[in-house]
Amino acid sequence: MTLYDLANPTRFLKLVKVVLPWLIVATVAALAVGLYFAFFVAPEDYQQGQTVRIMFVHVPSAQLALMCYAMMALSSVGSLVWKHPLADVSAKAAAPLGAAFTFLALFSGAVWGKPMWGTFWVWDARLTSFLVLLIMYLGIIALWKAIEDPIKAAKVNAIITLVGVVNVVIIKFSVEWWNTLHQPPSIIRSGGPAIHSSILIPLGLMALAFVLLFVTLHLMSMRNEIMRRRIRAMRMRAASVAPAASSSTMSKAAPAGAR
Amino acid sequence: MDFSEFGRHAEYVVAAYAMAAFVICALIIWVRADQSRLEKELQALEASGIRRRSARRAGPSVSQMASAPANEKNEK
Repeated sequence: MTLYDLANPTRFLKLVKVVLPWLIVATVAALAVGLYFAFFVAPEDYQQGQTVRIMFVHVPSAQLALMCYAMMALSSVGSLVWKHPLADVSAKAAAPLGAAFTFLALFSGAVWGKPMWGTFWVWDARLTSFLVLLIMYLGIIALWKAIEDPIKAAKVNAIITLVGVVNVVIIKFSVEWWNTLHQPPSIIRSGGPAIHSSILIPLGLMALAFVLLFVTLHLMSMRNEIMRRRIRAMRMRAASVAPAASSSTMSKAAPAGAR
Repeated sequence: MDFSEFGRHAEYVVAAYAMAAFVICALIIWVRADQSRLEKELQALEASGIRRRSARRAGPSVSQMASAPANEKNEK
């Protein structure tokens, strides 16, 4: 099956039906293993103590929030350039998931910040740009709901999503460009990760579990969106057939002089 | 791991994981509820004889495709 074949929503639905049960099993297993490692294998940090365990929720959520936006941007390119039938479905389905994980990253960061920094929030570049990401997600969701025609909504949202990519770049490099309370990169950086493997492995397992969870929920949401569009098409078809049928009935019933 | 070792920072760790569980559960419930509502709506439309222009007469309905068991072979 090629990518071109997947452009057909019916084929895509068939693929989802086969893949989804396996994804659900893999997600549950990865979450169980990840949580076991996070609570029973990973040692407490020599400085942070037990609060380091917040990292196993905070970092995967934050990575997913950015990954989701990057995926929406790619879908937007697919929607604008190739008019791929599933690209705008993918972008629309991902937005609420991205918003949820961005909120989770902000919340877990706040409750991690209080015991470590002494405050839930500071207006530094990383935290502020992440809050902007949440606002952007909410704006995109609102725009999808505000424009009734899904094709028009897809175009407008694709442009706005692509413009918003600049914020993803700002989030990524904010801790290097500006002096922030948030720590600099400690996983993907030159010289290798700054985290010991005893904490890095549980973190990797939790990140994998979150990615699997996102893929599962995204496929389910895409399937819902395809159904929603088909319902809309069926309702429009029913509405266009009904007046034609009634007018032909009326024209037959009306006297010749009235035509 | 001994949970009594969480000490004075326990509430922050618990709050982070509780919120994560809440958000993930809320997402799952929302997606499943949306799916079930849409399937019912599609079935009602198909039962009233409304079909998509591109729908084949002999082909399976969309609601069947979304809810039927995975081993059912709809492909001709």
